[in-house]
Amino acid sequence: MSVTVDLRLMASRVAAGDAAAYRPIVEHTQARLFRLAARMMGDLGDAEDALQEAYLKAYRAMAAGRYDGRAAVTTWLTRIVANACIDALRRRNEGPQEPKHEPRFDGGATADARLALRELESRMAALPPTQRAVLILRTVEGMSTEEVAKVLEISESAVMQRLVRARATLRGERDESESSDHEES
Amino acid sequence: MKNPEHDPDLERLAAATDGLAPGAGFADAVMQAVERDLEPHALDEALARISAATDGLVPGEGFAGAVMSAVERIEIAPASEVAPPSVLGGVARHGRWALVGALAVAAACAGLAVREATEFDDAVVALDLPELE
Repeated sequence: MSVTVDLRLMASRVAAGDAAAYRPIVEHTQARLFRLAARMMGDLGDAEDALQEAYLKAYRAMAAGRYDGRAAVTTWLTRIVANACIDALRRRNEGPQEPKHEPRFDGGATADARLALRELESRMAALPPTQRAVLILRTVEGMSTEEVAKVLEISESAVMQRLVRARATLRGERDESESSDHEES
Repeated sequence: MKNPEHDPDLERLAAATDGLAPGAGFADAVMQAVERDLEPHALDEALARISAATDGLVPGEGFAGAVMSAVERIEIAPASEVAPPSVLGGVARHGRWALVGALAVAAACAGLAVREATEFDDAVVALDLPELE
């Protein structure tokens, strides 16, 4: 049996000071957002950290009345999670490599899922975080160009541009590795 | 005198190239190239496979509880209690401290004045002046 949760109503309660009203929002959105964070980060432990950070940031904004209701709650949260992941990826790229840690709340990820995330990470490693976000949202999450534009608050043409650049970068990477393989053989 | 901004050669070239426009099919060709670039290829197949393999990912059972514990540790005034910033609000906030400061200065001045007056009276008494008739 599925339970319909009026997320806008819950958001207005949070804004009125009812912190407990945030729980149904988290419970209703966590699966989808965890998947997004895992795909963006390519790692379950990092996904958990980014998602928790995003949920806290969203709560602070919601409680301070900064959720204006113009976008759906899920779209608004997706934006915050995507941005938290982009920031985390930037920190990962710029800072020293931290050892990977296992997720604290093991959701029972299958071996296939873990392998797929590892493959995704190795394929996306060369991309700047903003291009990576567009490619993941559009291709892996299956969002339309319009939805991606709404989530990232950029124009649809900017989405297309980043998508083309991301593919070009990955193609360049592939050609480079193929030519180096060829030279080695 | 020759006007440096008036160059007949450049004007001629500008006029000659003014009518340049891409051929009728240019925009279509660009869009076809973009679409070709977006067509499914090996990368998309791999990403579709990865998407399917990670579709069942969910956070562990304690995740929402951990988020809520962290949320409960945050103390935020509800939006309804947060007054929008205003000039009067700013004056009220900073004015309160100004008033406290002014009162403190006034109290110190009053204390000094009383002390000075007392010392003056004592000095007058110490002079032991003759009484005026």
